[in-house]
Amino acid sequence: MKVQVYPPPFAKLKDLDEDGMLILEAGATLYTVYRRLWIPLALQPLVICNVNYERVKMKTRLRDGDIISFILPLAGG
Amino acid sequence: MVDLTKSTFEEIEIPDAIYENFLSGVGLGAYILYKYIPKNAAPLGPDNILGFISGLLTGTGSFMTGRWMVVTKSPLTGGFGDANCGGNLSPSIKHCGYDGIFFKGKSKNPVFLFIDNKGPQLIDASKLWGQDTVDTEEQIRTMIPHKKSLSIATIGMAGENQSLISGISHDGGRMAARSGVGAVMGSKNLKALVLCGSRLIKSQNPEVIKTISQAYAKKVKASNLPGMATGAFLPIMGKSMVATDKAIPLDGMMSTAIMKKWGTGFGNTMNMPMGDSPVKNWKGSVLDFPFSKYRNMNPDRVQKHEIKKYHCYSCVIGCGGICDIDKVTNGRFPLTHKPEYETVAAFGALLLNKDLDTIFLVNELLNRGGMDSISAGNTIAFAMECYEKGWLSQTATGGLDLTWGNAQTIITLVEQMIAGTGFGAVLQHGVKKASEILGIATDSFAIHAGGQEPGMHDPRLDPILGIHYSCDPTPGRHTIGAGSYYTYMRLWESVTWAPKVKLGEDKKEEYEASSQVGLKSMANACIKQVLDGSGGCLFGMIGGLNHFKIFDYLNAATGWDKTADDYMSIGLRMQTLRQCFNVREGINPRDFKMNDRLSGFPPLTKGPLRGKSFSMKDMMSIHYQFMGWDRNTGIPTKQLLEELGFCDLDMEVINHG
Repeated sequence: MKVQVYPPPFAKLKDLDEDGMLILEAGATLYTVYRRLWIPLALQPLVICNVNYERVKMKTRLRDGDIISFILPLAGG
Repeated sequence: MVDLTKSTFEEIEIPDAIYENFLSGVGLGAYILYKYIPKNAAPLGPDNILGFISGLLTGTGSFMTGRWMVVTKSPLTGGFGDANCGGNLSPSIKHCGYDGIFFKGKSKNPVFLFIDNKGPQLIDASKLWGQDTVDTEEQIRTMIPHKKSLSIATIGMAGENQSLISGISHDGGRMAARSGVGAVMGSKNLKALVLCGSRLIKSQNPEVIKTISQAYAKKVKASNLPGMATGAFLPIMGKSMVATDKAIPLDGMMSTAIMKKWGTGFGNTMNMPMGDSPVKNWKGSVLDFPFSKYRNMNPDRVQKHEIKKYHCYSCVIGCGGICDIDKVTNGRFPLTHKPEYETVAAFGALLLNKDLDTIFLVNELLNRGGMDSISAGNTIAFAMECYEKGWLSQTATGGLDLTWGNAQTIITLVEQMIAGTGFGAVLQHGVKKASEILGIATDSFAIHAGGQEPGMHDPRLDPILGIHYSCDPTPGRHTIGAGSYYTYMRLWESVTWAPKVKLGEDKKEEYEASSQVGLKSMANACIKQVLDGSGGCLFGMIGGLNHFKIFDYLNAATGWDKTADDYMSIGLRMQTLRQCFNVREGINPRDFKMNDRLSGFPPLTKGPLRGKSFSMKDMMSIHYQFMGWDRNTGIPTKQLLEELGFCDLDMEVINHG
């Protein structure tokens, strides 16, 4: 299955294509995405991540077409 | 159209074709200014026109579309001037039965315009002249007791004194601050605009709009930071953002969680290690204003003073707040609007001032006096550099010690600038005028673009931001576009010609005047016009147009069936009309090039932006070229004007001869 990932700036991007798509095995969880992006679990409290714009647990199973977004701040004022 | 000289009112019916070609908001404003302001009218003379305009989408049930626009010929730049603001004035204009309210002429005595369902009337404002913006609003509410709350826009003392960096205040200190719009209002002896209508605002397909709004609101509602997230993590985020030279298109929706928690104040500390916040009149770096100093601006410290959060009209994010500042101002003022990032940066790092309490006080002084905090901070930074270089003595400043970071001097200067007294009289009209007074040699560090001081975001970090500082018909504004905004918006998902930002793309490419850069800057310029024609909020736009579906909203509200590309063409037409206005008024677009320091000449020698530079001249050329303007002069070409249908619209366009 394919999911859309908006990774944090410090993630390893090698598993993502140029559109941010990530291919996962059936049964993959959010934890799998963390692992594939090389996001240390120690940083988990600092990293804010939603699936389809909702907070979910790490063990939540993902589905084809899910959108996984890591937080970013942006400029303005 | 209100003629203040004759005290008369005229209703102008706008043909549907004008809305289809220019939308409303800034587009309608550009049409009126171009058509009704005589060529070469003095910005502070009676022939200039000042317009308050609602957005096309305002009041239709769409979200993030409640901003009102002010347009005029700018006394600061000499060209097209506009500024915008949130609050609730935008729907109030429509509730009075109008899309825009325009003023020409000059009243003999101070007046304010009051409009309710019975119609408009000019009311004597002599007793309000000299009052600050907050007191003025309170007194007007006493003068016009009304069941329905009044919507008020007013100038303070800075506007009355025709300071070229004065703005127009609304809702107790929210500001449409840029372009010197307050000075134009002051020049007309117009103290305030007071609205109290209750007419219905209609749209073509309210159910469709409701569906779009519900989907958007659901995402925003779900985007929250966990309770444990504090301001301490923001500098870490800032560092991580610049740790890579690779582009990482991110999901703008996630930024709303941060906006909901802190408002724009998250940038107070996050932008410092990135290099986005200018330091020491744009010549320093975070090493000059390190964590030990900028940590005082931690938005959590600002939040400690916040007693209430608020939303603008039709906003689902709610980035605003009211702060209790009674103690930090020693009882001088009870409350202030939560200082925006721009104000904190302009009176913090830019001046090497680490005292947050000063910023709270200055914020309220500027809001009440009606002065632009971006321009005021830049101007004081310029004066401090003059002082440091020996161009100014303590005698010349009236005894003020303009050493970097001197908080008491900063407060005194702000008070003097608003009043136009003391050394503040030299600074009250902004950097360009101050430089002209203090001598030509100061020009090299007078930081402005075409007369307007830049926002608190550094083009050496984001060169496309520099294009918009230098190429927009109203220069110097950070809200037009940037490479980062482009990435967040994901415009390529709806606009066929907008280039996709690929994951892992090299960000260094944005330092070269390439066709990709030209396309991106053109896209930024066009979509921002669509936004400003709709009354849209910047934070809706850069939160991602894949979420904030402005094109769908526009079709639903109007009944049109236009594509995103069609709307971008409208944006191009709006932007081109604004550029035509400037050319007609004798402005050489190339003269709007921002100060060389901002493009890295000379380059910084330390900090995250050390060695970063780019050719602003080439960047301007590529932007002009992609806009369909002459690559060398920036003048819209005949071919483009024909393609955009200016002749069909019976517009007297610029003479290319």
